[in-house]
Amino acid sequence: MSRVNVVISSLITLLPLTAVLFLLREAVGTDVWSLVQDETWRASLAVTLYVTLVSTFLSLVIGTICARMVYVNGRTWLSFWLNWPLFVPHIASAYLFYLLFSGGFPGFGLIASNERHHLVVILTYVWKEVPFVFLMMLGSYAQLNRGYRDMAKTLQLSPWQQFSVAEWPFLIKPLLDSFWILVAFISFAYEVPALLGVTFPKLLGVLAYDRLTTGLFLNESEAYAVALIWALILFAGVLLSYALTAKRRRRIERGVRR
Amino acid sequence: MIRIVKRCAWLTALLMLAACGTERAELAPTFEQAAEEAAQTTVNFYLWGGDDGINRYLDEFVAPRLEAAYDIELNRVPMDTAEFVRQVSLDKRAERANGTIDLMWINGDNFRNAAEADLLREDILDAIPNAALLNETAQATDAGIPTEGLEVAWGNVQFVLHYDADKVKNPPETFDQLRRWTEENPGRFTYPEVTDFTGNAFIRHLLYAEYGDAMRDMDTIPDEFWDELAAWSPNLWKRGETYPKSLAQLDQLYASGEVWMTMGFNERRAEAEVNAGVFPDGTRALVLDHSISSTHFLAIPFNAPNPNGAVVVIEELLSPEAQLMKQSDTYWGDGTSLDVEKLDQTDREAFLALDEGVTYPDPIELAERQIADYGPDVIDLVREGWPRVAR
Amino acid sequence: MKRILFLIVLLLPFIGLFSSMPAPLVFDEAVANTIVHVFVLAGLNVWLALGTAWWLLFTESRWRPFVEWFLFLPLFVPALASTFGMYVALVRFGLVGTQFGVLTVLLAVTLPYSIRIAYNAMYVIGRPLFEQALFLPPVRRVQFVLVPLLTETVRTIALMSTVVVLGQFVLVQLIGAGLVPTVTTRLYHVYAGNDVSLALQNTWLLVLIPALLYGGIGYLMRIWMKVMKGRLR
Repeated sequence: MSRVNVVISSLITLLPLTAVLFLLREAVGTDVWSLVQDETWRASLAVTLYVTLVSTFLSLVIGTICARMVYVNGRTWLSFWLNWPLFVPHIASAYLFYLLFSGGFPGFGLIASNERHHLVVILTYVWKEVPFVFLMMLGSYAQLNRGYRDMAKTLQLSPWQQFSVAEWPFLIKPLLDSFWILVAFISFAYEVPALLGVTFPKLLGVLAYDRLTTGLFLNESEAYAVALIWALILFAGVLLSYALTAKRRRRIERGVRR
Repeated sequence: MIRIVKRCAWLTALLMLAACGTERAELAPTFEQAAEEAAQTTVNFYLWGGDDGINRYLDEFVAPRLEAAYDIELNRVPMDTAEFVRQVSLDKRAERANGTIDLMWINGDNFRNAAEADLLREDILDAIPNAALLNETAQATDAGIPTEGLEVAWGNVQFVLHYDADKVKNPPETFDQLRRWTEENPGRFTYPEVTDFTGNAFIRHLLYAEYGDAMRDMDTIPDEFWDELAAWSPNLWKRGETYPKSLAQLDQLYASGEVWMTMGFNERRAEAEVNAGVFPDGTRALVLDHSISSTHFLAIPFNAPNPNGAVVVIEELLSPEAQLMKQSDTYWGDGTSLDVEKLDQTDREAFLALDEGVTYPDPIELAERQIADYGPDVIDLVREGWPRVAR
Repeated sequence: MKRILFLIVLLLPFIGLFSSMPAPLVFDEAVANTIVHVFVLAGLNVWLALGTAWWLLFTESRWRPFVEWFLFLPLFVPALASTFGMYVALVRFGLVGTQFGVLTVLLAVTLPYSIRIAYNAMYVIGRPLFEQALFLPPVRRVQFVLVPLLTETVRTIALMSTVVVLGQFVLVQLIGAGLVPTVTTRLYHVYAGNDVSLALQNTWLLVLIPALLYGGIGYLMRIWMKVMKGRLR
């Protein structure tokens, strides 16, 4: 039975991948050099990198810490509460944060939505992604061999050393997975930054969608080109990072240290 | 196992075949025949859905009348104009002869784009009896472009600002004074981004204040204009670091009292909002040096699956009763596209007798300051040049 | 103390839900569509993801690494970027503006996540447990081993796919050509407007649907376990 599933899954997967080929066709004829020099796109890239990397990094760190607290320190109440943000779709959580920070509630003058530091955008993403990372990392901790930790403790290593020797090597792969999933998701999304972002600079997804749907048909190929180039950059990043860590990961998967 | 896969493949192939309609639907030669063919069908009407009054006008007033008179179901689909124009253009590229959109609400640069890409059905005017009642000036051009029978005028409005008289004690009378007013009241005024229909029109008003009709012959907008505009932004809402993405967002800021002015095409649009308690009671109209008048239109895409139904809906929307209800403050307050002189006496008197609203501007003053729009090329120039202001 | 602080930060955003009275719910086409989407996609995702992950983990095939990479690729393609491409692909089959077309693209954006989740979960449970199950006939294998072991995974997959589906505005709007209204497309139109109570009503729905589904599956599974335990005795 499972072979049928694989066939159907592959067919379904084909759809977004052929869509990328279509992007290639549409992007033909874009003057890439003028794109690179266009300040609007450059500013957009900068702010996208900033928002994406900060929210991804924070989510990974906090999510991992939470998973560790549950697994190592036995704080199981966390896993119940951390489910809550999972129930909220991104578009709804953007609206909830908008209600909180757009001035409806007094006392939140410190940070407000729609400002150039994009703090509320980052906050929304961190709130949404920490539980996701938590789930991914909880799985990894569950399969982690307790023996390594006990050994590290017996050897009286410092807590930090315990972590870096007995846990960190096993977390590389799931962290890498989560990292790229989050980066791909956050860096080209529309709904959250469209509601909580600012007019300039816009995040890549918002700018591309705006260019595609407002009037000026001339800009069309440009937006496709940006989508394509961004997808390729992510893709290269994925390949590179997995290639660089391949050796270490394989050694761990075999469970042998040579 | 393999049998299952095969069966799946068959099923998919069948589905695809069944779904591929390649016949283009044709328009009946007379209105009576069109109405006959359209009975018991659905018409997909695509239009901007950001105004509650407009939506309710169509759902609560127009749709039941169509149902009763022609046995047609009206399916109102809310979508941004540029978005559904893009959809039709993607259809065109994919050679999709039988699309999804029957009727759309369109004007200005979106009309130009659609007309240039051959997205609209031609010569629909002949099929619509009520088109004879249209105001000929309004029907002739759309923001300076000849309509050439590709679209039918639906309404006619002018651009005004609205302000809260309880907060703004001495309202500005010119665009220059408006600027000085924002210096005295920083953070209390803003306008939508220029990708928005209304925001772009606001900038065109500023252009007219600066260059007048000379702008019509200019190929670019001078840098000084943008520099001046950029120098203005620190006095706007959020110090000009961000602008509302749409008119709906500006209205939201106005309703909550965060800004004290809003704006928009349609001089009567605030009345229903005040009556519903959304806008503050002190809302009044503000006509500055000049006001662009704008006609908006109905068009049928080239691949409309139900063009006959669309024709019937247009006929109904152009009927004096529907136009009268549209102009009254019950739902929308949108000015009629009909020539009142062409109507019979009772209808004419009904239009003239429409109540004066407290938020309506002085009609004589508004008529005196009316100017024609610059047209889509300037809309594009504004879109290209404005981003440096928001920077 | 720390715990309270943490909970406040975590639950603070939910305050927005209570900021004013939501408009009364009208069961219309948008709500019906949304519920159909959620059930169909949750079901398909669970079925396809579990089967595919099973194959990826336990089948000896030289295609395996290739298929594995291929199936995870879409995770790294930004969804918005592939949306327009999918439109043109689906137009050729007349699927734009249909429920079937919308369901297909929604499946395309959720499935990679689901496979990933299923894969990780099965990997954690480990091969030995599953291998023992192979000796059972298929139906009993599912009854006694797979369902109990994978309850949490099924729940997570259903939840994640539901939440992703409910978060798609651009995709549904474009592929549905506006003819497939959902709570999400409606929310997008009202959230910029002045009708806070309508926006809140939609937001409530978007939060409650996944929560109810999650709770419902959990409940069903518990009953299943009880019945199965009873039989084993």
